[in-house]
Amino acid sequence: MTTLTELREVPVAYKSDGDAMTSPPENRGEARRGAAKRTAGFEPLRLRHELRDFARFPVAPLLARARPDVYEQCTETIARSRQYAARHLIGRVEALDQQIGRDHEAIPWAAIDGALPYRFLSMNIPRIFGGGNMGACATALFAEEIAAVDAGMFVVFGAHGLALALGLASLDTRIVAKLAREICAGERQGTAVLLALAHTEPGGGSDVEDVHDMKHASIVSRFTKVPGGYRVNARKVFISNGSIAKYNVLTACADPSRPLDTMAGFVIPRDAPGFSVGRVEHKMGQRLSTAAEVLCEDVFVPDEDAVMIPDPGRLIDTTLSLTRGPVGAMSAGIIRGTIERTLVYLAQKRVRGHWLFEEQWVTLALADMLGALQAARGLYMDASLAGDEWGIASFTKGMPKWLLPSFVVESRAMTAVMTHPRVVERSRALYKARVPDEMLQRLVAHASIAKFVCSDMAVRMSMRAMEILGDDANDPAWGVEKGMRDAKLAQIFEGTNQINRLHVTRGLVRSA
Amino acid sequence: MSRDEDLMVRETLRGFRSRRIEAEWDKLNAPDQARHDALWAELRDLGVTTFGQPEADGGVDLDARGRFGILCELGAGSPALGFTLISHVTALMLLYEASGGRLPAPVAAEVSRGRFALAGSVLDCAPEAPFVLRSNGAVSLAGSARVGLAHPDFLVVPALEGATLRLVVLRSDEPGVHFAGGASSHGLCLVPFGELTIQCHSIRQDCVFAWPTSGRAARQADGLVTSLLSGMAGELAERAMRYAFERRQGGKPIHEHDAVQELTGPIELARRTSETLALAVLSGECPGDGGASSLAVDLVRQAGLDAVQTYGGYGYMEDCRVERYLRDANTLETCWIHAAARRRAIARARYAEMAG
Repeated sequence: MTTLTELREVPVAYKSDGDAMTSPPENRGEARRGAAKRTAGFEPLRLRHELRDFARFPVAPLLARARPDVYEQCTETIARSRQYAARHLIGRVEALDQQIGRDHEAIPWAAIDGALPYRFLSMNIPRIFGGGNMGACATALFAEEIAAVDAGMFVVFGAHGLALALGLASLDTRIVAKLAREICAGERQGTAVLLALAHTEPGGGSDVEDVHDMKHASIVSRFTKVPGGYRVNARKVFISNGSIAKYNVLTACADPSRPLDTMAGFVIPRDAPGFSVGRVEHKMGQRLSTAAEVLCEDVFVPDEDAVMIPDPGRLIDTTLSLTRGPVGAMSAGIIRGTIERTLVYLAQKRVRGHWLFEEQWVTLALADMLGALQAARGLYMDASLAGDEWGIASFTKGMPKWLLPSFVVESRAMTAVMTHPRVVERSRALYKARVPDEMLQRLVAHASIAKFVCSDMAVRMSMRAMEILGDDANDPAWGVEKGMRDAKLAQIFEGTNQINRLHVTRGLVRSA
Repeated sequence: MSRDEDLMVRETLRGFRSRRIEAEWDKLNAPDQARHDALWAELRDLGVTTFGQPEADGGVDLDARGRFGILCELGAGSPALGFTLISHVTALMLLYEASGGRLPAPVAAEVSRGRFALAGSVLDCAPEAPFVLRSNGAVSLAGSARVGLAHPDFLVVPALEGATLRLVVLRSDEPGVHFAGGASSHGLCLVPFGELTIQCHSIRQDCVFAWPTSGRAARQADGLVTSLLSGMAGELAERAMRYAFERRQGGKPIHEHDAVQELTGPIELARRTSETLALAVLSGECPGDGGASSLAVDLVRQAGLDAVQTYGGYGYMEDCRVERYLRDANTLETCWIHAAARRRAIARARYAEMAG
């Protein structure tokens, strides 16, 4: 098994030619702030917390024994994420946040392109289609690592993964294969092929994330069958990556009076005639990720780019079981980033002749933050372990890559077999047999608990950290207030926390 | 002030708000001196900036409800302008009290038109001064602090001379005064925040006073900040409830969902509680020891979170407005209120009473 020390030097596959940000940052944020703020005559304290290393998670040694494959994927993912963050994010994100605050249509392309060698865009794609087949635990740890530096940057990858999750959850391997080919080729060639899931509408927010409420949801996006494909008319809002994605995976329904029963998904390229990007939102936080309105006016989608969904309710639940845990992990990352930034501040702040760190109220506040981080990790790891045991990734992992040589697996013939409608239908039946609806609802419930509890804690803890910084809290150089602005969105997207709570009760409480 | 006069002040401020603030809302989210000066000039012409000074110097005597009304309206419209006004009236109140009404000549000449600011939290009746005053023949003032300053003409600075706390008033453009103000990355964005550095070697003797120990200015500031927060809570309640009334989800208006009622009810309670607290402090029925503003800011911050949550994705966007009140409340907390510290201070005071 690879050790953590070895993984710190994990090699990357290759370097992107177009990478403008590979040179080390001239000024790391901490160093620059330290020089400017350090109390005269005092060397800063040396403060670090012990909750950074995965090996110290209580669950880590158990995982290493019980699921060495998952453990290894987790440690490798953490190392890769930290290397990426150190090269492309740390010391830069505070300034990027401010810059995008002034010009909200600016896109952090250098940071996005910088991720290509690390293959974060293909990490959740099944190995049979050339991806990293990353499971739920590793995906969650990736979320924590990136969000500890910048939650918005995680959402760039997370929104891409969300669109992919819809394809995976539908088990429509045709679509997954098509997108996977382009994403993997883009990574090899140094071009980011990003996806976005366009689901939210002006009149439909939380209710379109809920199987029960969706029956009454007000959805205006529609499709009609035409020879050779479909005509789609849609208006979607707040779409993360919507304005920069090469493909928007967009949902629409055939009959607005029966949105749940008639929903389908469509893969729409950015240059499709009739497709356009409307308003780009000016967000309070998570600014490195764009959110935009996307519009379809009589967009033609060929048959092969449509995902007809036999059981949309199950598809929604399967997708939520995949995507809410990582939001919990992202929130844990925000808490961790807040702790680390607060420690940088405390290492340099003296009051009334002593270190602020020595005051009891600060010690108490830090304890609350560390406690929240551990609690958040426990919750998102629970949800992720369940995902790795029963979730869709555990199912797709069983696809035949490991039995056959790669030239066979990635051959056109194998793709043709795997994407054959009867194979797709059989896969859906197998997955339903493996994870019946009741168990799927339990997975959603655990993921929802992780999402709403962790995001609530992230908001509270980031406000607590602001209180420690006091007058300095609104100085962008410290980056602490950014955590608060970033955390608030985690209570809203992937279904508001109120909707998440409803899913928890529905999934875990039954009539006796 | 009679009830009619109070209503008239509030009506006037509502007109100011719809005419000036609503029209420029998008532009009030970044420091802009020209815009701030123009808004301040209009507030001054409306006669609402002078309640920190005696009537003999052009001030107006407002009762508790009058002062509450002004700050409440500004809280609903532009908390950043309210921040400037509270800093101004508190600085003037401290200065008048410290000087016994005999202002130094250069200050007296401009007091009716000048803008004053306190270099510190308005709620501290015994501030921990980061500025140091030294007298070696000439009087010098030195130090630095991170503050929010909205382009004042005069600064009122708490400074330590040995172990004694002094109040120093000086012009903000005096040589040796440097304010590196920039945009706040969080709230009250119309006000520049930054490092105020003072290295003045020739402070006029008549501009240095003993720090007023009555705590009157801080008590009033507690009421004024709570009034500002009450206005913010009122606006959050109005906006969130109106949205909840009109928005439909899951086939019915969202206000019919228990989840939304649980979010919006406490916003309305935050408004009522902060109003009651503000009036009680301003009328002297309740001690102005920072307790009111520390309680109100916690309520209003939660109200801001709940209002954004009620709006969902729309609430998170800057043009929706509710998120700005949340950021403003956070910044009020961190730069002036320090609620946790005030709660500890209130406990200590109570224990001191118990100890006799």
